[in-house]
Formats: sequence, structure tokens, C-alpha cells
Amino acid sequence: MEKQGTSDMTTHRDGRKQPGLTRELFKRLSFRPPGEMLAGESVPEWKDVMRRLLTNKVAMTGAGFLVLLTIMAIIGPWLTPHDYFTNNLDRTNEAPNSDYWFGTDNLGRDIFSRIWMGARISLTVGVVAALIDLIVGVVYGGIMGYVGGKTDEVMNKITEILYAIPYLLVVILLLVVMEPSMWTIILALSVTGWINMSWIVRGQILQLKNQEYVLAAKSMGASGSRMLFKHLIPNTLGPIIVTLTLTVPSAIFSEAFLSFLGLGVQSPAASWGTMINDSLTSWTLYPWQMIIPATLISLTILAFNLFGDGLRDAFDPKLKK
Amino acid sequence: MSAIKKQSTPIVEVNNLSKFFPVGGGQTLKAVNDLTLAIGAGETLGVVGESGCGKSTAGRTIMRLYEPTGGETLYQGKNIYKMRGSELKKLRQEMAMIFQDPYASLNPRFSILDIIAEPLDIHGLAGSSKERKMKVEKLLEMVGLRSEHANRYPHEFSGGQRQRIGIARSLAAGPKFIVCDEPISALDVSIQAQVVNLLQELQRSMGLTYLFIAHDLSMVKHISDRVAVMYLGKMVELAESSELYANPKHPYTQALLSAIPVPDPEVEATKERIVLQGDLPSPINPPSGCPFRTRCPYATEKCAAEVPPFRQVADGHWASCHYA
Repeated sequence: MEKQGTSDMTTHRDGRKQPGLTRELFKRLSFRPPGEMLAGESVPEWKDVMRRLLTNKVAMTGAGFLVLLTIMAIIGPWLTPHDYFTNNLDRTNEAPNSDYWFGTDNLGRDIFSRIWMGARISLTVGVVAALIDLIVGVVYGGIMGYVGGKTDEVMNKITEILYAIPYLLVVILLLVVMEPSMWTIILALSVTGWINMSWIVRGQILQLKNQEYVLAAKSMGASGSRMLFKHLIPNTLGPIIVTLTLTVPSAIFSEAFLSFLGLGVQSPAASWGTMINDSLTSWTLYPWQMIIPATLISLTILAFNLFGDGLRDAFDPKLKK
Repeated sequence: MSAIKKQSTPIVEVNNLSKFFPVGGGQTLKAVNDLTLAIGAGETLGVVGESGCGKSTAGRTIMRLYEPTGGETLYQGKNIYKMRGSELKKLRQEMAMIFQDPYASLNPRFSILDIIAEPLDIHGLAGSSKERKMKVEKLLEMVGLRSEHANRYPHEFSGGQRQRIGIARSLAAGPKFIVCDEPISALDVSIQAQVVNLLQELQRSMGLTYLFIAHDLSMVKHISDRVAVMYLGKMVELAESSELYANPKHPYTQALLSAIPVPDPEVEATKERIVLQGDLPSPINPPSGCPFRTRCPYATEKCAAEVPPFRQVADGHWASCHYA
């Protein structure tokens, strides 16, 4: 029911009376809204990322393969009575059978245990090289981006010069002074491998350091290390992790490639690259000697790439079409 | 120059402050050029001007987020650009800043608890984690949010709520002087009033001093005791807020004020508006003499030849125009 009392009438400028406009309608609201509610559960960002990653079937297939590979690299060589280095010249070049599950090579060594020893080397090279890239790249790139100015210019030029040196040349030079081994390869990969990471971190930090929340921290008196490690680096974590998961397969590929060329792991130690090289002369007769390590190299690299792509989509769903 | 300063003891004095940015090719961008002002304790000084006039740079330089090219800022009589170590840290506790963009000014990885507690952490003001949480909850309630919001993340809040979180953070260390860098320009009009009322309420209850930077003239009039008008890095007029709005002396201020819409269609339709010709000149290569002369309807040869001094044209009313 509409009230018609005089208190409810508002006089307009030209003298018209207008009903319904009460003084109450024009009362100033309390400046303090009575505490607004927020809908939904509180979800920290990393949980969102995990949820997106876990529901990505392709990425999870890649991750599943990598978990399986890691388990086999650890326990695989113990599953069979044959070790990976003993020659058995009575039983060379055997096809896969119930005794030698993946067959034997031209010296009668068990391919099954050699494959998993090779997986150990591949995974170690991938993970160690990536970790070195991570540490050096993040610190170096962080300093370039955060300090800026002349320091950035000089440090950036150094990376450009290093980047211009082909790593094959570095490996060959290193082999002159060092024994060819897994560690030489890791060293050679690390000489230039961190550069990409440092560029990515630098770019991110340059972009972030003028964000208002970083200025806000500065205005509160935050120290340089607090700003770098609490505000800047955690916010570049997404690109860092994605770069990391894409560094691992490229390091694994490099190790296999160098070992294949005879520049890496030497017999009797087993690497997938060495195994392919060993099988090269007779692969038409004994194709499994090549197919098994080649398939594993491809699958491992594919799995890392799929997982890395999934991670990138999880961190930044906007990138997905 | 002493009369530029308010009668009450100034808490912040800015003397001939300049901030130039190198832009390559040996050129410099004169963002803030020879700025002098003083802010009395408990006062709100509004700073207005169009985009690119250097008002945000001025605020950031006064906060020492940028090192100045020249001049000084005195906080309670001490030059802040000469402060080091514990003295500077003390200053950071007593001066705070509220930022323009409520989306960019909160670290997306921090919970609201960590955001608001950051000044407490930096200055070691919370003894235990329980005390820390208690202080944050009190601040949240002070700005009209619920204490259980402390565990949420910035992306879960609206712009106005985020700006109130930013205000709570700026209050955490117990500052005396706050630079508000366009705190309302990114918000809806209805939310603007909420935030401005909150800022005024807090000023009354805590005795805060504000430097309030904005480009909304009617909002600045509402909140400020005195208003400074900036153009191309220089201050062109400074007066008590009611005096400035009733009696603008500088042609730039007159043009700005004539652009304020009046909430009455009849007045609005007949109102005369001064429309400025041309664009804002580049601060890399400002005009000779008076910086405003290229757009000033009254410019003469004298304006091109001589830089007008910033002089007192009426009691407490300063302007830099030869003809004011």
C-alpha cells in the first residue's frame, strides 16, 4: 500500500509534488557495509593449478609413464638374474626370450638390465642438468632483472657471448681435458644450458618489478632480498617450472645423442645412446637391439613434453585455445 | 616561501623537488619540475592534474620510491633522501602509500593475512603469529571486511574490497602520513564514495595526514583542505579548497573547473565551458616560458619569454601566471 502522508511528498523545483520519495531514501549509508560475504570455498592458487593438472588426461599419461620409468630405473636391474656388464659369448645377439627378456647384445650382455641402467643415466643427466640450469639461471636472471641498468647490460652481453659457443665444441674441448663420462656431459650441458632459464627469469622480473605490489613492498621498507624472494621469484614460478620440464627432455636427448657419437658414456656402462650405437652395424639382423632403446628415448622425451605442456596450461589456462 | 606552508607545523615539506627520467638520445622527461609544497599535520592536500602531468611521479618521489633528480623532501624537518638504515626504516613505518590499481597492488600469491601483515613482518611489530593474526583481523574489521576473510586470496575479492585491503595494509604499521595515489579512480562511483568516506573516517579517528592524488575534481574538493593543481610537472595553483573552487586564478584551473559536470540538466545546458585547444605538450620538450602558454586563451609574448613565478596572488592563494 502506498502511503499518502505529507511527509512522504517531495516538492519538486517547479512546485509539483512527487510521491514516494522519502528522506530515508537519501540517508547516507553507513560507510562500513556490514561485512560482505564471499561465495564459495577459499581456494589458494596452487590448488587450482593442481586441479587443472590432475584433470588433464594427456599430461597425466605423461606423468604416469615417467613414474613407471623412474620405478623401473630403480628396481629394473634387480628383476633379472643377469647383470648389465658380464659378457656371455655363448649367447650373443639373442632375440627376446624367457631367459633374456629383451634379448642380448653382440657381447651377450642382457639388454633388459642395460636398458634400466641406461634409464638411470638418462634421468640423472636430465634432472641434474635441469637443477643446475634452475639454480644458476634463476639467480643470474634474477639479478639481471632486479638490479637492471648497467649490470643488466653487462650480464646480458655475457649470456649472449656464451650462447654463441656451440655446445658440441664445448663437449669436445672438455673431452680433451676430462674423461668422457656422464658427468662430463652434465658439465658441458650446464655451461650454456642455464642461459635460456636466465633470460626467461630476467624477462619476468623486469615485467614484475614495476608492479604496484612490489612498489608497495618497497614503500613499506622491504629489503631487496625480501622483494626478490617473497614477491618476484614466487610470481615467476609458473614459467620457471614449465621451462624446467622442457629442459629435462632436451638434456636427455643431448646425452643420448652425444653417447651415440661416442662422446659420452663409455662401455661397459650402458646409455641408450651407446646401445643404439652398438647396434648400428647389425640392426637389420637384430632390430630389437636398436628399437628398444630408441623407443624408450622417444617415449621419455614425449612424456616430459606432454607433462610440461600440461603444466603450462595448468599455470596459465588462458594460453589454452 | 614560508607562506606556501600552512599555519600548522608542516609534517612534510617539499622544496624544489625535481624528477627527470632519461628517455634515450640524451633527452630527459621532466616528470616533476621544481615542485614546492608543504602539508600540515592532520591536513589533506589534494593534487589534481590531467594524465601525464607528473602527479603520480611526485607522490612516488615524495615516498622515496624514486630518487629525486634535485630538491629535497623534509619529513618532520629531516631530508628523507639522506636517510639511511634504521632512520629510513623508521620513515617507512611512518609514511605509507595507497595505490591506484587494486588489482596490481596486492601480490596474488599472498593470502590476505600475509598481505596486511607485511608491514608488521618488515618492522617486527607482531610478536607471535597469534598477535599477528589478531592485528590483521582488527584491521580488516576497521575497513569493513570480515575477519574470516584473512585466509582468502586477492582474486576472490572485488575491486572495492581489494582497495579496502590495500588501505588496511597501509594502516598496519601505524603511519602518520599517507600518500593516496588515485585510490578511487579504478573504482565504480558507488564504491568511490565508500572508500573516500572510509579514508575520511580513518583520518578523523587516527589523526592521519593525506596527500591525495586524483583527477576527479569534485572528489578532491570533497576530501581536501587545500588543493594543488599541476600542469606539465609544475604546480600552477595552490589554495584552500573552497577558495580555489570559488575563485580560480590560473587559466588552466579555470578550464579544469569549468569541465566539472553539474548534476542539474538545466544548469549544465547553459553552463559555459572553457575548451582547451591542442594536446598536452610533451614533457620531454616543454614550451619556453610558461608551460601552459601553448593552450592558454590569454597567452601573450611575455608568456613565451618569461617563466611566470609561483607567487601569492591572494592570502594563501598561490598561482604561477603573469596575469593572475
